[in-house]
Amino acid sequence: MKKEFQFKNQFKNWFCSIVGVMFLIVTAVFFPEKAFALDLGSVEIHGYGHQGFLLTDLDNENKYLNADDKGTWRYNAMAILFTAKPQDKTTVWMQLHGRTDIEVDWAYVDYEFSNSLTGRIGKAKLPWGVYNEVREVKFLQLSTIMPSMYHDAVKIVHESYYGASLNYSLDLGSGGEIVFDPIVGEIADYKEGQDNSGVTLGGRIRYNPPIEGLAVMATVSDSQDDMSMEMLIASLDYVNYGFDIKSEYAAMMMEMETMGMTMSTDMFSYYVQAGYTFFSRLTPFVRYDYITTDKDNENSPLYYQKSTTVGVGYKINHSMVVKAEVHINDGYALPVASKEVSTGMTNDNWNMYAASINFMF
Amino acid sequence: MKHKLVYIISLTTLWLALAVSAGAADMVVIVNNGNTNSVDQGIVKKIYTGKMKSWSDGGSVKALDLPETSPVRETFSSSVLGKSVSNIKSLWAQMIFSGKATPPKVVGSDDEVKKIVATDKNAIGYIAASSLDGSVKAVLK
Repeated sequence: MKKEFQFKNQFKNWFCSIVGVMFLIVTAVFFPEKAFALDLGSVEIHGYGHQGFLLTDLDNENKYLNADDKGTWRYNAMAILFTAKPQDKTTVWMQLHGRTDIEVDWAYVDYEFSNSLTGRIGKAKLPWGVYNEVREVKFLQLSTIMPSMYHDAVKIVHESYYGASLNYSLDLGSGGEIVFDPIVGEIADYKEGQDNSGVTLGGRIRYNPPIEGLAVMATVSDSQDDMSMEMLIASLDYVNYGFDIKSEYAAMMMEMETMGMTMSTDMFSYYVQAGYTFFSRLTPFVRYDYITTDKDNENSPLYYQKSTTVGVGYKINHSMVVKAEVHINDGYALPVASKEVSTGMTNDNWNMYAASINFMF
Repeated sequence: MKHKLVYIISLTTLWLALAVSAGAADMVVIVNNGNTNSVDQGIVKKIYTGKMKSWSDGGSVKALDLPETSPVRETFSSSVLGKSVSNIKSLWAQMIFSGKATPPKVVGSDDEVKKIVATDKNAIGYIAASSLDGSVKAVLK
């Protein structure tokens, strides 16, 4: 009975994956130039999606992102974004996102006070670091698997929040531009064991110097409740002349009162990543990525992971890209944090392979 | 052998140069005849990169784009915005999916751009220079 159930589930996943891939191919290959979006009168529709295949050289007992030595197709997502302008200065946004279930990923209303100031209320992606707001839009990223600091298993960088935010840009003339993104609210994606993150205050400051394509960012946030969480990210981003260079450092300090004792955990992560696009289509890239999920035990492979990634992306057209990459890992902090490792790995060194097809419209 | 190689490289370069110049098209940026806002390249760049959503008189900017395959759009992207169509598309995708701004509306032809700009005071677009007529005002060539 259990086997039959497993088979049915497996069949369902395979079927969904195949349908998903077919949809991606048909959409992006046959309608690449039709439009960036569907415009249904006053409602615009955009969307993105990816279907990946992940494989590790770990044995069957140890997995990460559902992948083992037999591979998994369960690395996919689709999203549809609806946006409408009920009034000139007001925009309503809603994004539906689905892997196995479809849910409202984020939805909010924004009001444009002026060209430089916009306010919003609702559920939104946290404007943290380079990638967080577009963490699921693989089309916009060099790699299929993101840098460690963004992984759900560790949640150094949380994904979204309920609350209010502002977006304010200050034009410095020939000195460039500074953009502020302050937020107040409650973290929407809790870590296991957290009932509520309490009130979160934070923001990102982005400086765009007068060098085309360069941005320097600093993000800080502070959440206070049963558990206190302080996070900071420093980011550097350069995209121009075919180059795509990014580097970020993130740290999370957590403290929790348990039976009169204060427990604290510090995590940090950083990466350096560079890619170059040839002929407007082919983008090879490399990345070095480090994470420790417990600074006090950072010498144990249970709590650190060093990954060197080498990969390539090929843009089929403006709406579709295919990618392949290998992650050469030392340590297994991410599989441990994701609780997908049942017995611990027998070897600190392991590889993960990823290939994906990604689209947006 | 050496001469042959030089000959092949020269021919290839010439062919590429011709191919590139054949794809280029003269274009003009147009606004409504009643639009009195000052418009220069910096403002057009701000509008088409999502940094300016309102005219200085307070009206909401309605920017128009031609299809991605249009040579006029290629010229506009490279000469006015300083980026390729692909780069601009990625920039807009970043803004759309982070909920910051929506991209210019894509319309099918120069005639459609002119028609919308001629009737909407807040519209801005670009067309081939050869399509320009008195129904709209050219602000950037």
